[in-house]
Amino acid sequence: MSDNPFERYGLDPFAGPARITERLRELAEDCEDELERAAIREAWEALTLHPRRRLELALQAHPESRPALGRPPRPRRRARTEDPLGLADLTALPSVAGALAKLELPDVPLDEDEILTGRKR
Amino acid sequence: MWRPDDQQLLERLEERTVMRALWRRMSRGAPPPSERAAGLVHLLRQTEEGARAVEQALEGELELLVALTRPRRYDGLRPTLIHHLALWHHAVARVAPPDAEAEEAWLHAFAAWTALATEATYLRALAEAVAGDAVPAVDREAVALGAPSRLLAELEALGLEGAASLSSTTALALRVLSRIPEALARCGTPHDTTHALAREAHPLAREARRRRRTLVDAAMEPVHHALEEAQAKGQPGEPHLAAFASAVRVWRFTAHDLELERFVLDQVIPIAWELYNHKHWSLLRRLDQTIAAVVDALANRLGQDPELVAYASRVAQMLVFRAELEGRFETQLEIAERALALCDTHRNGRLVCADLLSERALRRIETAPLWDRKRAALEARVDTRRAESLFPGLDRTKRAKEAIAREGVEP
Repeated sequence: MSDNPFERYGLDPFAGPARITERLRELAEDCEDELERAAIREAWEALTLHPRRRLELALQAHPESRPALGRPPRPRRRARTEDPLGLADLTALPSVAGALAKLELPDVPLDEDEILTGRKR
Repeated sequence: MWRPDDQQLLERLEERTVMRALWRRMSRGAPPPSERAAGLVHLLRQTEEGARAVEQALEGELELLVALTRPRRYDGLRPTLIHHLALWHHAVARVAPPDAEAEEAWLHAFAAWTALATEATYLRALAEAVAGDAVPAVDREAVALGAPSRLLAELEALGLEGAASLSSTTALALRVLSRIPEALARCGTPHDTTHALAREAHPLAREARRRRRTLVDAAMEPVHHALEEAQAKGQPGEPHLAAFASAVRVWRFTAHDLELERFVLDQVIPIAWELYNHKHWSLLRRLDQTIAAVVDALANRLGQDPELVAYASRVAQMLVFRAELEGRFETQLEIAERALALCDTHRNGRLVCADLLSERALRRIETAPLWDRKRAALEARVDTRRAESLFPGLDRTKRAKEAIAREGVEP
């Protein structure tokens, strides 16, 4: 990780002290690690209280010359079907049916099934 | 659906991957720099050649991209790209082992910073935006445009650390500082850097020379102490030889520094005379052998640099000592002729050369068969006449002239 606060905290050297303060405050508020928060405070001091140091660090920071990232794609919404459920939709898949066939299941109505009702017959 | 934003994200990830591979290749294993350094790859890939280089890099072939990070000239490139290159090469230079690649990295970092400082608009705008009125304009300008000078200071400090032990880092700093005029040719500066003389006169070239001098002086410090101690012991002896051997080691280490050649000549002449006057031939021969390479190097420079004329007689004197100590006659004469070619008014050179020419005249006659003595006498006369013109009245010349006369030839 870079030692240069402009690079480390993604700060724009052209932004000026007010924007730097705002950005570092946001980072400090979101930070849960005490050591990291202290490092952010140290960076803030170096960048805002010592303008000459700020200039030296800006010169030593790689300029951000890549285009800003665009928006991530929206999460895909679950497609709704307009067709009502049919009996075929309730049929177990062959693989599930095969697995179930190996078990000996009780041949009782659902409202009397002890697993579903929790009652012993 | 593949969106433009997705393409942009893909390219950013590619550029980061390529930047890290490029860093591994150039730094040879140091931890990678900030992700923002990938902006260098992004800018390079904007040209057709750069795009091809990035494609090749993604397939593991980095050399074209490495070549693009080392442009022949920096003026004319986009300032943002030059800024990336300055930081990139500076970072590589700081972490790479002190070899030829590190040397190139320092020189490219220097050239890039100098090109940026010469263009000035970009750095001034950055300084104005970053510091504004919080830093006085003079200081702001000095910080913004002073990177080339700070790099030279950094090199000097780096070199000083191992100067006394002649470390490889000091050798690297010396090499880079001596190549600064060459680096200046890679960037447009207010001075006309296409001409060697103008490059040498550039303030940064002068600063590099001064800092290099400091490093050479630091490397020579143990030699100075050794010489002082040797002098304190009185008569010239082994300690002097050891001190001069150290001086020659430093001279080789500095890639044949001219000032050291002058220093060695200045120091050695009185000691050599003392040995000569006391007829310590063995020590004088060893002293000559110890510093022979330095004397020869300065002798070679003398013909090319008129400013060194003040050293002509000192170099000639050391060659005359060598001629006198030499066992083979033809070589003796050859060395004496060389001394005279450097300084034709050198008294001892003329004396020794005249004496050797007269000796050759005598040998020509003495060794010639009886039936061929006249021709030998005619050849000997050429030598004696030259000997007379160099140093009239030598006993050996007189004897040679008499021998010539005995063969019926007018001397």
